[in-house]
Amino acid sequence: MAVTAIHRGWIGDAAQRLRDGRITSVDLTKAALAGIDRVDRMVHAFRVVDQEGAVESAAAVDARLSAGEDCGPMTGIPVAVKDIIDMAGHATLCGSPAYPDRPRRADATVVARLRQAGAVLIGKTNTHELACGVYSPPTTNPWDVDRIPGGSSGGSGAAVATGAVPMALGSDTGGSIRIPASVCGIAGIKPTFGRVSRAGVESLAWSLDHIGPLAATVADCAVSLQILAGHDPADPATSRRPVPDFGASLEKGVDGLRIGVLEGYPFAPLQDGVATAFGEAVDVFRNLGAEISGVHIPELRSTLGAEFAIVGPEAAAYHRRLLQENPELVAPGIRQLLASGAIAPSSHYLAGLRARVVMRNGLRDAFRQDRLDVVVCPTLPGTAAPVDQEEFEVGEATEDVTAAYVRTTAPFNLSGQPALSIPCGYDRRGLPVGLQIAGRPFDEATVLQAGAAYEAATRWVEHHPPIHVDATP
Amino acid sequence: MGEYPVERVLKALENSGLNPSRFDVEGIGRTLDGWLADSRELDGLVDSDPTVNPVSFVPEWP
Repeated sequence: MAVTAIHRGWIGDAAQRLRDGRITSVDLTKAALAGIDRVDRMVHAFRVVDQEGAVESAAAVDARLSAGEDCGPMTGIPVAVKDIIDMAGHATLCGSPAYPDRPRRADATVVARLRQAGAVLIGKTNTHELACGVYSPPTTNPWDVDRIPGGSSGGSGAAVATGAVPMALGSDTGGSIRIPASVCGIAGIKPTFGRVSRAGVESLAWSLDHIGPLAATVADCAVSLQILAGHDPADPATSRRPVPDFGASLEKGVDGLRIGVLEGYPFAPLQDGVATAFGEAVDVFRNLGAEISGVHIPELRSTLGAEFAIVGPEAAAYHRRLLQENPELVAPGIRQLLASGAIAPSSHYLAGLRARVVMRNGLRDAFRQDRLDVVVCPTLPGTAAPVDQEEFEVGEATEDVTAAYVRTTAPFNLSGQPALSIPCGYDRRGLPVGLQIAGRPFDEATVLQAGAAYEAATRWVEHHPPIHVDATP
Repeated sequence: MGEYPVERVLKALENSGLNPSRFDVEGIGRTLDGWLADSRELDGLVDSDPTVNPVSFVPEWP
């Protein structure tokens, strides 16, 4: 991306050039397809690429543009979809051999909204099996192919990080948008619970699942969320609250904004490189005029216990038939989680749900007492783990990779608050570090505002991995 | 021995309509023992306060 105006983002920049007639959607789509052709053999981000369908859609968009039709912000832009989200005419395989390779008849609501907004759907990205894990094989990390892309939306993270597409849809039950965004060095936002429809999306845990974009820049997240957000009768958990203009706040800066820095467990311990990059990120906010204060929320110490107390039984209920009929088709670790969830006592599930209320109240009280606009922490305690390691070093200790990643992201699945991850530097191996910014429920606008200010001040967004293409014609 | 020995897990799986021979019964017992410990910690967080109500939705016809 030629970053002439970072607040406009990749999508805004391309949309302007489409409107001006300097490029066509077919140009953009063919550039994206050529990019995928070059890099995807190395990172395996895509489960399927719809070459023919994408070019056809792009040609139809170009015809509409030539006819003088109004051009929305997403018109003609190639995007990808995580393979747990239905896209009409394509199977939804969920990274699992248990799912039939039969085309789905209808689009998920989020896909229909993208299509209606003129986006060109270029393909489906790989996911960790059943959206339940952070490794996402066969996808690898474009910064180092011997390391994981995160998950479960790992294919979407890698697809955006390689530059093949400016945005890919992901889902997030315990961090599955923000984890790949962090380890792949891109932006990704988990919106407020209820902001975006889950209709037509395979579930992991109904009360924790969120859908959102992984994208090249904060502005790209904002423009994508604008299209995705809003009530959907097909998902009764979606809110009827009005959707604000997310782009309107991007240039406001953070002068005078009150930012809480989350301290203590689960936001510590951290790998050294993460701690250094995060400390520098807080300094950037301070230098931009934000008021910084430390925040400790002791209720969050039980984050992992509550997360798994809820995910286990909900996922077991959702996959009950699979467990009864074809459990051998589920990877052993996930099979064990699901079977445990199927027979766990109801008291355990309720303990998770009730603890979640206490945690949410702890976060709410911290925001109120300190009059905070957002809170920040490292998205993850560590950078991308090697593909063949289940544990890695974090500070003085060795931690399970999945548990380490989830402990810093899951608090905002439990609370339902919006949370953004953006790049904030690199560790000594050159692997990206993520900065997480979380806000009040339904206040994605302030989260994006803080993210855009940081992004413009640091320009980490201009750094790309070794495996990268410029898919701008 | 934990609270979830093999016999208890076997019976629970059968009662749930799952075939125990297709699962790692000992592994499930270990997971459930871990969850039981979590459960006690979570209960401690709620501190037996009966007013902590996990149901927060507003009934609304779709």
